[in-house]
Amino acid sequence: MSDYKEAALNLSLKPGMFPVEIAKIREFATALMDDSPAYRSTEKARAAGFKDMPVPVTFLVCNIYAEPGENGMMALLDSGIAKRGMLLHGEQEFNYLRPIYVGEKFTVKNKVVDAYEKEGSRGGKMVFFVNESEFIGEDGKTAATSRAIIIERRPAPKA
Amino acid sequence: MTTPHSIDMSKLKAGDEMPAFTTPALGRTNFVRYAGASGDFNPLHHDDEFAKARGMNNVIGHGMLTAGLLGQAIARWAGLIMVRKYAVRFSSQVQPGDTLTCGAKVTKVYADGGLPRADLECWVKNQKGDTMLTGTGTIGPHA
Repeated sequence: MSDYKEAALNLSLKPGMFPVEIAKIREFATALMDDSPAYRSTEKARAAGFKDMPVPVTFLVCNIYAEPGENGMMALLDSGIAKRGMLLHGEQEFNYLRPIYVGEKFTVKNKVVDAYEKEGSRGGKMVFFVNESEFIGEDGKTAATSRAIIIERRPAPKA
Repeated sequence: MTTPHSIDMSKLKAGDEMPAFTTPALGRTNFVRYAGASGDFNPLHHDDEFAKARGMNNVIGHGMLTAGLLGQAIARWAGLIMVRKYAVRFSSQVQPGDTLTCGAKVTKVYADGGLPRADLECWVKNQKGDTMLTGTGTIGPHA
């Protein structure tokens, strides 16, 4: 097993805490150019038919940057396994088992589940890291999962 | 406008398309706004000198900004809590000044545990028609 793979799979990550906050939802919806009233207040969300203020489809990515040391992607950087500035986001997936609303608090379990490499198209290597996150609600049940693939570009040494 | 369930699953069929959503030209302010909202302050998205030192012409947009714009377009079309699964793969980098068009198409309609489901393929292209990302999704009501 390559060094980076062993180090990435053995990263010890503490479970994160991810509170779903109203100001963050508003800010996130605005950044995504979505002015739907549902993302402005509980009152407007209810008028639009929601149980409470919901979150945008990709909102759970905010968890990645919420607290240092809790997410696999950031821990890869902080630990020096992957090099800052050379990373690209390759893929991202979300699975919703139920809707998510403002005021909820999630425990987030993160794990780097795989690391592998491919030859780059212009020489050098591309190293892929796969991080999975599980969002566990206050009832102890999983509400959503996400999966991210980040790619580190490792240019070929110059001859 | 976004509601919980906007689409009539009983009328949906393979080949149906979401009305395209096109953004205004995206600039550095859009990137910085997304950085603040998401917490992703990778300098590649706001610091031209940093980007140039890494072989790029200028800053580029966050992949998740592109993915988020498409995700919200799907939510406005299908209904937010109908979005059960959303997965994207990034293919090109968004440049300042790009105008993005988001699209989605139904590939399959079926039932899962008695609940209606539709699988989607989705994409974002820039003003030149270059593909920025491709993705898949599954829509349908919660039990």
